[in-house]
Amino acid sequence: MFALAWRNIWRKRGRSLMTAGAIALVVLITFLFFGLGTAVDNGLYQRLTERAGHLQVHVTGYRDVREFADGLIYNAAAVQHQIQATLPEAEWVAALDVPGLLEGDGRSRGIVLSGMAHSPALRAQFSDTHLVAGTLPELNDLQGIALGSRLARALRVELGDTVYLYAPGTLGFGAAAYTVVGLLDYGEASLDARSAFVSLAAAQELAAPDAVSRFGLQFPHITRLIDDARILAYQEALSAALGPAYTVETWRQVEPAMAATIELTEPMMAVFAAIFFVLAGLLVTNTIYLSLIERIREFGVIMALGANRRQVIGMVLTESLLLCLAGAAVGAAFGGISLAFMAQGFSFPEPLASAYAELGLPRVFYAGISLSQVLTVLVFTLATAILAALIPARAAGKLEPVEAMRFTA
Amino acid sequence: MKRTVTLLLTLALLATAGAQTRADEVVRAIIDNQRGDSGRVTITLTVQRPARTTEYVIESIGDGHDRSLIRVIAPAREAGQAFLTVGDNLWLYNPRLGRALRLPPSARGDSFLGSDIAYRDLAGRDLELHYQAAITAEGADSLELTLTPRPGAPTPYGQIVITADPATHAPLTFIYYDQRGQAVRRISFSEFATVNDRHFPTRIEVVNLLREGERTTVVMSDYTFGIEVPEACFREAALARGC
Amino acid sequence: MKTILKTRDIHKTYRTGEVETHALRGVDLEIHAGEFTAIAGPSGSGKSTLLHILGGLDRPNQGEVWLGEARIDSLSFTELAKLRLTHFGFVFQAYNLIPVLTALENAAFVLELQGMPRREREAKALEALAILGIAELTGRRPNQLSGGQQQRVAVARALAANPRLILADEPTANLDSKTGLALIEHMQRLNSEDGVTFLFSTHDPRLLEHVTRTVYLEDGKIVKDSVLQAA
Repeated sequence: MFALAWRNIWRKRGRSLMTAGAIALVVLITFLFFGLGTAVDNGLYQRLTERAGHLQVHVTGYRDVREFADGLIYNAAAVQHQIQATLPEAEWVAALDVPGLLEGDGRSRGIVLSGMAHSPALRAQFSDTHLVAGTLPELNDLQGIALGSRLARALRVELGDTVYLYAPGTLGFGAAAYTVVGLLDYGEASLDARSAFVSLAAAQELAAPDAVSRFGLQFPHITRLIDDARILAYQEALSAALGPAYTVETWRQVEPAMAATIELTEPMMAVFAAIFFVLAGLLVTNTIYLSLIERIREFGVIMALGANRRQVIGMVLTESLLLCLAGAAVGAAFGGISLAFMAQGFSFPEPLASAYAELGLPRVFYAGISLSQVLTVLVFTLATAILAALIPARAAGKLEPVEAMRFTA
Repeated sequence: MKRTVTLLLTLALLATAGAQTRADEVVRAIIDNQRGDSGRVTITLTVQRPARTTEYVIESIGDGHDRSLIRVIAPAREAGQAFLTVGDNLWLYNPRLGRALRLPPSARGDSFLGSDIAYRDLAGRDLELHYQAAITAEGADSLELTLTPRPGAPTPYGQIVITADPATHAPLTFIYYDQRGQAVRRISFSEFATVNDRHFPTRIEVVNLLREGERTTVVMSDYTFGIEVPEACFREAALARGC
Repeated sequence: MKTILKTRDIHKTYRTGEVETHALRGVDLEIHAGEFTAIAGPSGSGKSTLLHILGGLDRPNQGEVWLGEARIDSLSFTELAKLRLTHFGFVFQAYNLIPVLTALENAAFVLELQGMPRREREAKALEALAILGIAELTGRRPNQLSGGQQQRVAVARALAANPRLILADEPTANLDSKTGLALIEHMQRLNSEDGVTFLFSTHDPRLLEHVTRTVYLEDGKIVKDSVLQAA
């Protein structure tokens, strides 16, 4: 029956090539959709985990706190020591975020001043990603500050100028003067306009001695979404080590909106792909129907010989399946090759690349496709083949042999 | 017939205008009482929170209208900070920096010394400038007005309901509602002092209605009113040196 | 002689639009094993219809049809299909073969429908083709065969399944005299040497000369049923 179906397909070579070609094209597009989706997701993931870490440690209940002083982790040095003992392989960042007013040259803005200390690898990454002019304040620099470039422009200050920070309601000096040593590009305009960076020591002196708002931990070997589940074990270990006074959250818990956006990508791509498959399916239905009409007498003879309805329907469905699978195989081959290239790294053309950088994405992406996504393509193909052939197949099943044999088109 | 209709309409218009004018007058009188007269006062500001209570001692010099100079005397850590309000403008001064910062409009809602009072509450005649008043209840012991923001007014509130003494127009309570109609803050005035026919509350309680256990109490002591306050007090130089 | 098929008072009416055609008006007939019989008559006499009903391709409106001890006139479509597959072989006037299959595959087609595995069915098909004298044409497609060869493949297909009888509807109509005769001789040999029962519907005189029994139909009724002694 497979040989029969296969040879029947190629009776009308042009038509079948066109239909199989349409399926091939749709499969190729779907592979690219999934590949791009994965690339963007991985990019988002990477940026996010570099910025905020795979895990974050806060004081328990930090989200409900309104007073600056109640949301801090005190004895930060000791807590950090404990963290590094439990997870020695992680890169770390310790940050103290201080809301305040920054003034320069007569202008002022409400900002969040982040005092940060990084492990060397993360510091280098931060610098590479964000620094556009000057330098980052050193680990023990109490005077240097780096401003978001938009903030600097709004305050009309440049490298070397002095700025003044007011942080009322905090636990340290409450106000300080800094010298601008660097300018940063945070990628997002809103962050850029209200962010400044000092050393952790400087922020602690200003607002909360030996305290931090959070610790972030990043695992350098976990760079793709597929591997993300491995952080759960680390989360458990650290939670146990630190006790109930502190919460250890994954990036998903800290930024659920981002996590939701990332989770949406695959279903969204699948929906787009499904639409394309439906369109191609219409072409398949047309092709199968036409070939049925052209062979009605033949079907009549086959039924006269004793084929039952199920066998006849099976013949039509088999033709559809073979046609679609043949097209899908070709499409998958091209798709696979394209993705193999895109997995080496690719960039979007310029206006798009900057727009994506604004949204927090890197400039170089790495495409990929998962097994479940390939299986999804297979399922879509099979579904299209079967659903598209359903109407013609049922029509074939309803034929009466004698009438069919007498049929003239 | 036409003349009767015209007459009736005119009377109705005058009546509403009259009602509006009366409401505006009442609000003006209430704020006059709230702000007191020009003079000096020592304030004890107690900020209560579930975790801790903090007490500040503050000296305030005002012109009874829309200008004031506030200087923090205690505790030692905060002492030397000063705040100058002139109309809608506010300057912060920090002694460690020796500089004054002009508060950007976006920060007017930030809390003053971590209390339930915002910078915009410190001085000025907000309620008169940015809201439209209507008298909504009149009784023997209290007069109630409802204030709704004028179009474009810079306020996070959807509505403010004021009660005052019907005879003296001394303020009794202000209840602030957010844009969704939920009551978020209540200010109660008590312990009035009569100075130059102003009924001035010496005790003010600000209660956060959304969060349990958060309130700020303002107690005035040592007040001298009706004195001439020098212009120099309301200039930036006064932030560091006082006056 | 054993009776394979029997009909009792069968009627068949067609309606096309407003017009009603009474194709059969009460036909009683018995077909026995080993017969080489033709149903003959002018066109419109109902001979094709009768053949179809006997072969389980159609059902009468009225009357009974028996295959051996079993009544078959009111079986469902699926049951009739099964019946045809297992008990009958068919040869039609034209379009017998599936164009994309080789002669061998065509000959094995009924066996394939029956579910026989490939090697077994192709062996049987080859045997049948050999009997029909066209074993060397196994790999050819129908468009590479002459009309006569195509009909012989159709007969081989019917034969390969070893049916109780082979029904052929105008099998020689499209063939020239020489080819037609050759086909008739093949079928005759199958009947006399291997005892294969044949039932034809035909108006071809060449075929009628060679059958051992002719059932004449006119206006939906049997008007004559001659049984000749085998020559």
